[in-house]
Amino acid sequence: MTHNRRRFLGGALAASTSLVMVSVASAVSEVEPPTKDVAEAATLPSPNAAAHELALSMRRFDPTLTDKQIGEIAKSIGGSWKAGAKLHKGLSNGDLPSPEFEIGE
Amino acid sequence: VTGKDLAFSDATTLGTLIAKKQISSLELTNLYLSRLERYGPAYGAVVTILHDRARTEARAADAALARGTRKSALHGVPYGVKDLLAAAGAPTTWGAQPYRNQVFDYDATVIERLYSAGAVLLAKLSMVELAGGFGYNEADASFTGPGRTPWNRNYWSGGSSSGPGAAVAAGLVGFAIGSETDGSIMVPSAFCGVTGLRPTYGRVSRYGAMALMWSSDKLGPLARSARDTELVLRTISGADPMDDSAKTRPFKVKRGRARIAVIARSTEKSQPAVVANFESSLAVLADVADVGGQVKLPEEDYGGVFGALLNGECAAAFRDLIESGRSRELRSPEDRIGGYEQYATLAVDFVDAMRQRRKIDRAIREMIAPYDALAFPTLPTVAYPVGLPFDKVYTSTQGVIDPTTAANLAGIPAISLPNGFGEHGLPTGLCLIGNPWSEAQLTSIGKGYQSRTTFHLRRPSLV
Repeated sequence: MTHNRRRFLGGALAASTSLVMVSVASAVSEVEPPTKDVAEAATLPSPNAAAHELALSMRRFDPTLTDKQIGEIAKSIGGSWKAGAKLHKGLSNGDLPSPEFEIGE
Repeated sequence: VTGKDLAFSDATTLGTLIAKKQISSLELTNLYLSRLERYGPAYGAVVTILHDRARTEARAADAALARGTRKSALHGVPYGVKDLLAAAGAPTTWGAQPYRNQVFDYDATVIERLYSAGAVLLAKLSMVELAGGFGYNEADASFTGPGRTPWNRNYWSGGSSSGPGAAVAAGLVGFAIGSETDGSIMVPSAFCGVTGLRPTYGRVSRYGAMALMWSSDKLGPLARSARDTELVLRTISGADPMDDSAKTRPFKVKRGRARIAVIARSTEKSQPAVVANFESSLAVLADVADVGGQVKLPEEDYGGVFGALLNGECAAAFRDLIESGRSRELRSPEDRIGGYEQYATLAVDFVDAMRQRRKIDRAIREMIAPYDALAFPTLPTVAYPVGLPFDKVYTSTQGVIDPTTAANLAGIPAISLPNGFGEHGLPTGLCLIGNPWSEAQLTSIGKGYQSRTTFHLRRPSLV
């Protein structure tokens, strides 16, 4: 049962800022002036536009996906990305993943 | 003893009656088969009734008993399984239209073990399609239609083990096997007023079971008593060469009184009857355990971590389905597109979720270690109405703390016990979570609770 997950993503969608973009921008400004690469990155599609493009690409699997469905998929993908950005909070470089989940004694 | 009394007896009692030859396994099997046919469709509880297999196994159980062989306490007792477990030669649909004609030529390990114990497989029971992996948002999310709780057909039986919950509550099987990735045994147990046991991750082999999320899928019993859940779990547990994650671990109960604390804020936003029933339950538990103190669930992003892991694992598990475009055949509108969202999961998010999970795992175990169990209401509400989106009902309870997701991330066991009734005559549940491998401790507490209450003995009026 996963509707709690949807509620979480719904909350994340309501957030007005992209944590990814905020964190990238602040990190850059603290270290050095923008380089050419960063300036180019600023012209890249917004996360919402990127999510929409990715959602559109799902028509290669199901050409019958409607525009409304594509919009919903894009919204979900964007929500997952925003929620995903929060997952990095509190982690430091050396924090290990649990690649194989196992319960000890 | 009437047929109805038999149908609603717990598996332990049924096994004893069969052993004493007060009823044969075949007679009991025929009783349940007729009840499955009569009531199963009304509650959306059944996918496939296995008439021939059930009668063959029942006759074999009776013949063995006649020779003086009783294989176990479950010898001759009929049961059902969620339709995500392979049963040789029968459809195994995973609740989903694209898999409606799927047939395996072998039995899942759980079914093999129950067969070896002399139990009788009656039926494949309904479930939410793909165990809810694609993000359904309404009860009508299976090709068999919505599961309905026997306490009030206008309300959901819970998911994703909808059929096991409803079939046990309606006396259509002696017990049932369900599965849980994040709530799928606990929720139907609470919504249907039955006892459900979610084992420690790795206690039960998943060979032959549909995979949804390898790092969180568990198989466990739904039954009419805590003692039944322990009996069934002991029967199906243990290492299996076909599933590397399955382990043999002892069942331990500590000497003396158990120590139980309450999860702080766990009744916030709950319906009044849920709160009242929970407080009454604590008073009863105080007879059998030392109940006191509150523990705070560590503040972590449980939903986010679980969601990222589920998205990645589920998309991999159902990659063939997603890439085939056949998601469009699923019942729930959310499920028809949910796989595409998951397919786009970022690898960095998935890895960060695994890193967060390690921290959560440690924090949850430290939280629970001083106690034998932590208590909270299984759910803040009674069952959701059929026909309305989940996120449009009981909106005042949204945002409550979620010990179930936290416990599933940590892989620790839980039991849900019927503890009263609330709105619309619907049941409520008491949940106890325990330390890793402490299922027998939880069932011990559950048995003590049920020796002082009668909620698990109540019967719904069937239509």
